[in-house]
Amino acid sequence: MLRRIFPKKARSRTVGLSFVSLLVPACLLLVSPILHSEDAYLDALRLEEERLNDKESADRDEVKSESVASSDDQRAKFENELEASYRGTFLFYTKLPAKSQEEVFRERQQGASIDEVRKTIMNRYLHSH
Amino acid sequence: MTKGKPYIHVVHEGRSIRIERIQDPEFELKGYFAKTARKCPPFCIHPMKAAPDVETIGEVELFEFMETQLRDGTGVLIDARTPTWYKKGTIPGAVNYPFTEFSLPPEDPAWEEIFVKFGAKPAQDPGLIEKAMQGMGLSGERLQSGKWDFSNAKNLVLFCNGPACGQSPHAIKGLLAAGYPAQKLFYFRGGMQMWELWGLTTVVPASE
Repeated sequence: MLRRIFPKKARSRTVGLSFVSLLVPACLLLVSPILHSEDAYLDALRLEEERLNDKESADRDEVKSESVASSDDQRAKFENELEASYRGTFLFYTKLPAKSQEEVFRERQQGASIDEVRKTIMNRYLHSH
Repeated sequence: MTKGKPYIHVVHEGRSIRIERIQDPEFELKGYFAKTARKCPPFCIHPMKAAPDVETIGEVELFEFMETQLRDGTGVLIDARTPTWYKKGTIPGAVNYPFTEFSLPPEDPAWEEIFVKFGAKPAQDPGLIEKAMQGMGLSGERLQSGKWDFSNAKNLVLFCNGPACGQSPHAIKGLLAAGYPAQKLFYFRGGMQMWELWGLTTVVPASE
């Protein structure tokens, strides 16, 4: 049938062409799973990274809230100690504006002695009235 | 770290970094590298060898590599992970060549640049005299593969996230397929996971 339609030379070219036309898709079929598997692997890596980033950001938030909580605890401890040992000074402290109270607490945290802190409280109280 | 070697120094991005273990005996690993399991596939445990003729090395061999070949420039420590992983922290002295860069077909012209960077040279016909000398054992045989001469190419140590990571084995396979000689490739299978587990120093690369 083929011999009848095409002369011999043309037929061999046709066979060659059809071989090439079969070979190219076959190669693509062979290569595509490799490319596909690499893409899938990259997607999995990306997903793992995203999960890790979410976890890290959640951990950071947790650490942040822990440090806030621990700062609150220290502030309460400082005020309790001041009230127990120096009730008068503590009364003046309670009358200070929130900003000044915060400054006093920070001063204590930075290593100021209790006498220095008491002096600061009195200074702040006297200058705020 | 090992007997008689409490620390070593390596150069990372122009700075000298001291590598040592975290000395706190109560320190516990947290985060990604403390995880025991990941979805498999794709994060399955990999065999000891990345390829038949490629040597697998551990931490002690890596320390030795760092103190010799990495220091004198005859070796390269390759973090084969994708850049986002690398940027989270790496082994001091490592450079980032993501495994995807080694996934190119062997005939891709980009290999030329990669091979030149790693010290390979275009292969040349040794000539009659050289061939005769080689035949008599008076001259060492050139380590040639295809169009490339790898005789003076660098030894490459590749690593990724650890034994369940496929990125460095993938890179090794790509290098082999392109003609890089197996005897110049080394697989640090423990990767970041074992490095972190031993509490060894890591560095966060400077952002570009």
